[in-house]
Amino acid sequence: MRRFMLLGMAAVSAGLATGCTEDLFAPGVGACPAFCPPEQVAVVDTMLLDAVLADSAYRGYVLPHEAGAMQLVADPGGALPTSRVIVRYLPFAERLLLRAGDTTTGAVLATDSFGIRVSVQARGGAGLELAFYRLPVTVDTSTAFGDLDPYFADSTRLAIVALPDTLTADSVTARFAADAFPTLDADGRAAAVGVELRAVDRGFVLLGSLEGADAPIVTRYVQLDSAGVSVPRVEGKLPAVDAFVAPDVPPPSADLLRVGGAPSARSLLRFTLPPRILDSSTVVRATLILVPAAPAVGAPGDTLHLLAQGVSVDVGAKSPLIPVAEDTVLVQRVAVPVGVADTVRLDITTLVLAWAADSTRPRSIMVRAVPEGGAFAEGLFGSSASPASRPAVQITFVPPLNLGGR
Amino acid sequence: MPRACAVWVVIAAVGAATPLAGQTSVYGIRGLGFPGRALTPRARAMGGGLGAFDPASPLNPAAVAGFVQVTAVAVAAADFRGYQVGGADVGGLHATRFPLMEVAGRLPGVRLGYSLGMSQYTDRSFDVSLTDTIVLRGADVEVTDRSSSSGGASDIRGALAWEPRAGLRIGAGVHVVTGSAKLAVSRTFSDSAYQSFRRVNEERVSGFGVSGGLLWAPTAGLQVALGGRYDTEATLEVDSTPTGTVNLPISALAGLEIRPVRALRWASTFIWRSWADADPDLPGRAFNTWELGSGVELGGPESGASRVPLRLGARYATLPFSPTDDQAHEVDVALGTGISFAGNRGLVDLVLERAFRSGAGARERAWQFSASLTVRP
Repeated sequence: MRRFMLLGMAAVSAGLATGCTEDLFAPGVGACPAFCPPEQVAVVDTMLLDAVLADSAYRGYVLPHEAGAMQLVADPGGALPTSRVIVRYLPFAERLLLRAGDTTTGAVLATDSFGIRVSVQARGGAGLELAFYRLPVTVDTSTAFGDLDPYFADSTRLAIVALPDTLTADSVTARFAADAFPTLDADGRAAAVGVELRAVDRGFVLLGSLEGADAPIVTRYVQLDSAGVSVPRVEGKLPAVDAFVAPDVPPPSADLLRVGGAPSARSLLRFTLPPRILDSSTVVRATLILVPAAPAVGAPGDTLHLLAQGVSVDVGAKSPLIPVAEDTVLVQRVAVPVGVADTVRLDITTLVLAWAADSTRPRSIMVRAVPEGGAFAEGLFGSSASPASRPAVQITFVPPLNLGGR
Repeated sequence: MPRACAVWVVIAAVGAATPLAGQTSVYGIRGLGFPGRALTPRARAMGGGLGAFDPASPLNPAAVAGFVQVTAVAVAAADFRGYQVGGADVGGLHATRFPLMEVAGRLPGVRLGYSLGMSQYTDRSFDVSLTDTIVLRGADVEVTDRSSSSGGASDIRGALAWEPRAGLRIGAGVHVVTGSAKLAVSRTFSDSAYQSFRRVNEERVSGFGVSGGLLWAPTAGLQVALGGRYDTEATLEVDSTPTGTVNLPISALAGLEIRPVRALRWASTFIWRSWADADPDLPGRAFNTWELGSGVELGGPESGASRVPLRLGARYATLPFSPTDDQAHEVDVALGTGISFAGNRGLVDLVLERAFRSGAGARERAWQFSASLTVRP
């Protein structure tokens, strides 16, 4: 009898143990709408032409010597701004280690040659050459484009390196003779070079910089004194200063929003969204629409990438940006080819959702270029003061859904 | 009472504290859900015909007088379901629930039985998915909508029944109808530029009711049952915000049991409910319902003939909620048995049912299995 009792308990307990499993999932095709719940999702898409309350453009966020890249532009006889890269290196040493892991040094007896390796991150155009010039070691970040004219001459040219048309992203090395820097010792063993782009037609290259952890490195090949014997050694140096300089650009028009360029410009936009959308509905997609006032300017063949980024506090030009993960940047940035005047659509869904979730967040967005400050590409867009080309927001949302409401 | 049994009762009580529900049905998506059947597997196996007389089935409070000792009953049920509607043929749906639990007994020294238990009132569990293509921003976008609900309402009943003389039992009960369903709607887009949407609300229903009934045996082998129940207006809340009221039905039942010999019992129960009272309060249609169940029981522990009974039954019922003006109906056939152990202090009853539902443009078929454990310490 006890066996039956235990059997019965086991049977019903097994039923209870499986009580949490269920599979009610069923496709509603054919069953809807009659046998579907009455509460159905509706989606509304609307264009808000007056969503941007105010906007401003500011310049100077990333200066050329702070940028992660340095752009050289060539436009022989054209109207495009040309640019020059300037690099002043850290001083070479007077003595060098004879052997790695040893503290014994030897005096530099003679210099055999120099080499400078530059990293090409992007390029546009064909038949490009990099021309290297000797610069005075007094160059720094305050050196103006025009001040360099005397030094970008045939007499100071150190080398010309052709960039094969097949080269898109690689490094190239220029080699100089031992007498490339005749005042090296007098200059405290420091060297400075300038780089210019030459092109049959128009073109550009983007060189790596110290700030981008892809600096142009100079190498000196020397002979060391090792107990009376001359031995060859190599010494590399990073830049103390690297930057690119260009003719001054005109200040931004008050009626236009500017994004990108060098020094970089950003545009701050302040929004107002209807409470029925932001507070009562669920936004599934929000797009900021910028109408170009002119085609994007910059090096021919270059592309400007724009990103809309939230600000943690709206204090105008210096509003701190809310960090964005790199993979998010890659997904959300929008490419604007130079010379093209298409309407720009930036995804701001996550920003609008954050506003809906936290009413204390500033409803402001900074539009900036990514990467920033390393190139001349710049977008010019209509502002809220431009009735015909003011920014707008297109929002797709689900209106309030009252589940269970009768 | 063996110690193991006591432990099991505690475990069962804890398990039953989860939201009670039972069968689910395509006919339970609209309205308040699919109405539950407050029946033990023994009564279900007889097509529900024993419902008006079964002490453990909380239909007729007068039947509570039939408890002669402290008794605990717990029921587990599972269903396997498929339906056809609008050209769609859906199968493989299943759910497992605990539709009934009860503790009952008789007060010593008086002919007064008592019962406290809970049963399924309505079940609102479903999960429906629909794929469609809509035009957004000038482009076709495939969307997948999913609507689901999990939960329902339970009927908590306390009942007393008095047996003033042999052959007459009178009972009354009070009911609390309470429960909630977690309703969820979501939409996902094939275009990742659109964020998926999901909304979850909890709908709570609460109401009260009273019931009364009598059992009268004018002669040996014959018993008649009458009963009624009045439920108040139920209040509905969504996320703790009142959203409205729904009229719960008035119910009336009548039953007839004939037992020509101890080993044979034939019972029928008729129930009418005024679910149409809820029609103005619901988005779909609500109809008055009636059901008639009938079945026989051969043998059984109390028959003296066979310890293992054989039960057969059939039932016809109209269903309360429909998306159209066409009221759906249901036909069930049932086969069941049971076994006692521990000197008839423990009972396990089993029933297998086949349900056929149709109406309002849909057809549904279900296998339903229920098992109960009854313990009399």
